[in-house]
Amino acid sequence: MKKHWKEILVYLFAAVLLIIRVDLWWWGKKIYPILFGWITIPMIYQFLIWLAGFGLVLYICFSLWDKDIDEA
Amino acid sequence: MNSDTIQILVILGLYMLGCMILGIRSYRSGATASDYLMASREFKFFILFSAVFGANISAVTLIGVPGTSYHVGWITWAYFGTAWAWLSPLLFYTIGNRSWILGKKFDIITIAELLGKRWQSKGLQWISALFMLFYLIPYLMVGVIGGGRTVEGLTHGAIPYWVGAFVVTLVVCFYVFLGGMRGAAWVNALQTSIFLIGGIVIFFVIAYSLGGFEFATQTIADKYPELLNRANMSWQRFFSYGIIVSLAVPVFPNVYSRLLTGKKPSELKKTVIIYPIAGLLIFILMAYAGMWGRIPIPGLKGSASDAILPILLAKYAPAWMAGILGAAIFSALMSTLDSQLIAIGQIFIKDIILPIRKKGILKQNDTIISRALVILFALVAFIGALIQPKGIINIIEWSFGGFACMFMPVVAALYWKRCGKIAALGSILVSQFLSIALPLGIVPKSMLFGMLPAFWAMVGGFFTLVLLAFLTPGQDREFSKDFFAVFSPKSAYNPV
Repeated sequence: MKKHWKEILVYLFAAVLLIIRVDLWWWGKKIYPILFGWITIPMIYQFLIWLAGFGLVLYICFSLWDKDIDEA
Repeated sequence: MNSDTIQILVILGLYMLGCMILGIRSYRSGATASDYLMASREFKFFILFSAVFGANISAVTLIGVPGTSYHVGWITWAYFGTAWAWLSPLLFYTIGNRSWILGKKFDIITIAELLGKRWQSKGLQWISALFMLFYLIPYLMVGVIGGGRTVEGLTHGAIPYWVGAFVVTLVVCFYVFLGGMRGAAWVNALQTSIFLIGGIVIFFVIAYSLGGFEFATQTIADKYPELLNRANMSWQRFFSYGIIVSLAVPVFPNVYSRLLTGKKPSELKKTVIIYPIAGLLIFILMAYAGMWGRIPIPGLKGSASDAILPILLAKYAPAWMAGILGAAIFSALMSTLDSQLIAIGQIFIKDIILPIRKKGILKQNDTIISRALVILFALVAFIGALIQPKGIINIIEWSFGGFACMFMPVVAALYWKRCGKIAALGSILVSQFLSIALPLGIVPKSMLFGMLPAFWAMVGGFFTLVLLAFLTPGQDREFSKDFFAVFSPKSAYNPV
């Protein structure tokens, strides 16, 4: 697959993450901590969104970003 | 003045002294304007990261985020962290990488310059520059206002507001005047370290003082469940703000120019890798500290909660730690203030003065003009901070949206050969008009569907850009071909 299309896929994934980060199904509902006594499920969910976004950043940096001349 | 206040002032004084020493060390006599404004584009990873992160993280993070979390809860870290913290660095690749190559060939520094050179239009460059200045200048004042209020709060009024504002202005002016971009970036390395380490210390001190993470969160769940279930923030605001802030940051004039100061694109790449981690960390620390602060200090109304961190530290931490907090807050706001002062100089020199020169190139005495502009706008910021004009906060709120509206034309400039200058200009004018007019109520609020006005301004700008790109003539084909040729792997300017 051409680099151009890989970039477009990354942006599409990013757009999906921006949409699904709004976890409407838990919004405004009663929430209690379930992990270590202070972390809730929506917190874990939001962290996973960040993790997926960070994965996209790493993919861009290690697979799509061209190397410098002295690195190549 | 009691001994606690003196301890705080000594720590703040040492911090200010450190900033000034770095400013003196970065001074280079006979520096060219390019060196003064862009540090000869020679930064390596750590300095580049500090310069970009420092320009991005402002007093909003160390004052505004805890203050907001106090009212709306933990969601404040996700408000920024699950969009901006990873999407802005990703867009640093989209915009920063290509802009770095163009910067090498055309000596581009500013957003308006990029648009002007891409579409060979001085008018477009001037209009873009005016919008940038419109949003930047009030922003400068907010940094100085934050400095004055922080000193006044930490010393319980022993040092008046105007003295704090004056000292912040003077110290930033001093190191930017001497060292320009290089001086600011070196100081930013110190500042970024202080506010990241300071943030971690503050977080643990507050959590420990309130009985630990578990006890504090259980208390919140029992007494203030709305801080856990996010009842105080609408999902529409959460959604639209995430997009606005993520798209705005790469086109902040003070951030954009710093993306181009790396010695090689790989320095920017390393910055992009570390950025999401640092971004998430600082917002998590500040958001939880602010939320837990509601337990011992209930009842703060509105913006009074912005003082929650100093209040908590005054209650639970020794004076020296309050001094470190002060230094951390100063670091956050001063690192943004210095980048904005430099950005204003860059805009005036590159977007306003250079286009009216016959040859359109930098001269040796531009360094003097740049330094004069630093003093002039530092003075403007200080006077503005003394007056504290009404409505200034509204302009700041608009500014994020205003900057975000520049995102589409910038991406079009870098990637879309077919797009012409009329489309770019139309997009800017439509989106900026909507960005300013929607908050004034020209459209009933119900028609915004709960989204922030800037979201619709961006949507309007996007459709205008696409529509006009197909309806109006594109750029001269030969010119476009040459312009985009620099991105080819065979180009001498492309590092591949």
